[in-house]
Amino acid sequence: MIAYMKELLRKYKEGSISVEEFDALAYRIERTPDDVIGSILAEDWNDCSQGGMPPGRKRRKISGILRKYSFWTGLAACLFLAVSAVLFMRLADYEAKLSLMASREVTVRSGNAGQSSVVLPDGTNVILNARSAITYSSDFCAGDRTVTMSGEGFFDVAKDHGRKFIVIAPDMEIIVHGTKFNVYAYPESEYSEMSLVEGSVSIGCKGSIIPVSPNEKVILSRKTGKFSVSRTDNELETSWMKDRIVFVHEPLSHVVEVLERRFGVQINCDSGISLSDRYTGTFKDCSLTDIIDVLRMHYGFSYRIKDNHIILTH
Amino acid sequence: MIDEKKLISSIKLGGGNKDFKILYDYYYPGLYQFCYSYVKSSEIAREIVHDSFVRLWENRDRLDESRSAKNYLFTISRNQLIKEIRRQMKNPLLRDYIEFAGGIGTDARIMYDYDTFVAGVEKAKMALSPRQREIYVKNKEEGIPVKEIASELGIGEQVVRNQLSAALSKVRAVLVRMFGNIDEIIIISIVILWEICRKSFSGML
Repeated sequence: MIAYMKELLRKYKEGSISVEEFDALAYRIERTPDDVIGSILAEDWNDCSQGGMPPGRKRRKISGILRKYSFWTGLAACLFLAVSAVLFMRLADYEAKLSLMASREVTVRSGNAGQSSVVLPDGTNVILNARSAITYSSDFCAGDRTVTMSGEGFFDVAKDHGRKFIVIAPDMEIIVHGTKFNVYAYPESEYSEMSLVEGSVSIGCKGSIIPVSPNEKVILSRKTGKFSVSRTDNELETSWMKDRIVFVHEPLSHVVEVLERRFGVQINCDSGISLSDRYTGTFKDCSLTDIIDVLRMHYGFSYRIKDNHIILTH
Repeated sequence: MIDEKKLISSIKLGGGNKDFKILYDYYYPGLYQFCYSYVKSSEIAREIVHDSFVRLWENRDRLDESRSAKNYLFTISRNQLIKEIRRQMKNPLLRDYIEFAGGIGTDARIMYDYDTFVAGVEKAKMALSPRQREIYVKNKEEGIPVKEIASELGIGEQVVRNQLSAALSKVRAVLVRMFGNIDEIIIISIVILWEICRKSFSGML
């Protein structure tokens, strides 16, 4: 009986349960005491991979510790590690890890509005959207080219057959060989995504690797931790870099976020406004007030502007 | 890996918010996903996870370094999670969502989850007349059978049934408009089938 309930629970969690099965599950749960449900949950929880820390953070912490020491200690450490690296190379392939530990980090942050452009030491071009950051180590060109980023960025990666280019975003690792792609990974969003314009990349997350072809995008839901792959023409994904803003069936909450980033303003919505209402439309060369006016007509709200604050009221 | 023992003993000894934050950042996504998978509502899941961390923090002086934080967090969140699972199992709206989700594709289900569905229903309810809304809420959200609603409101059962079916078709029409972009034809045909089934079974309700 418990085995059947577990099977139903698994389907329910995955979202593949039918209504009849859901009724059967509800019936069983109601008649099962707390301690039995508790032990099923405990088993499931123990099977869960521990925590959810993105793979990039560990390295960042190590170099954070190193940064506390002086330049000379750092230099000594570098030399020591370089020597050790040579010695270790014969024993095992530790070189990459050690040189990563010895490196300093460079972080580029974009402002509250608009875009900034960054050229990495290898010639890779990155356009960052507002409120985004990219971090790379000073010995970026030594081993694999690894960058850590959050927010949104468009990458045009310089070709280098010898060395991989790896982007570590909050929930995913993107492994690249010379290509163009867009990453959307703001920490406050419910999902992160990567859309590929040219070339080929693989995405690694929680032990699985997903190969991606051009004009495909991978969306990771932060609610479920699951990936989905779908087709795209990249029009929507890269519109933030052009003088256009494109929304396709997006909830108002997302529209507001995009406008905040694009124009560097803060938009507050009154509780009477339904943030899940969806909007579809393209704005070309429009000022913020032009766009708000169109949205006002669409949603029937009113607004007032005070400095950098916009308040939407019903 | 984080050095959990060290973190726990430092938190226990009155060590700062910083160590707690490391633990929080490390376990939050996993615990949130775990709870969400059982309750299907981001609001409820967030509440459980938040309460669990608050309780872990409040009881920090009684922590035992030999137990893992993973173990602690589960023990703390377990009862609240079970309570919420029991509640969701009786939630007619979740049952409605599962019925609805059965008709859309797996990919669409990621975008159109229970939260989106509830927001859609909330919006759709605005289109109902006050009487229809009252009957709809009583039947679909509070789970009160037609017969009881009829005697409570002092009207005939058939009147309640008619009002309910009118309310349901309005709600569905709004949902179809909202979710229209995905698989409009599939949804419309499900709605039509749904209505046909409902009509033919309405005598038995």
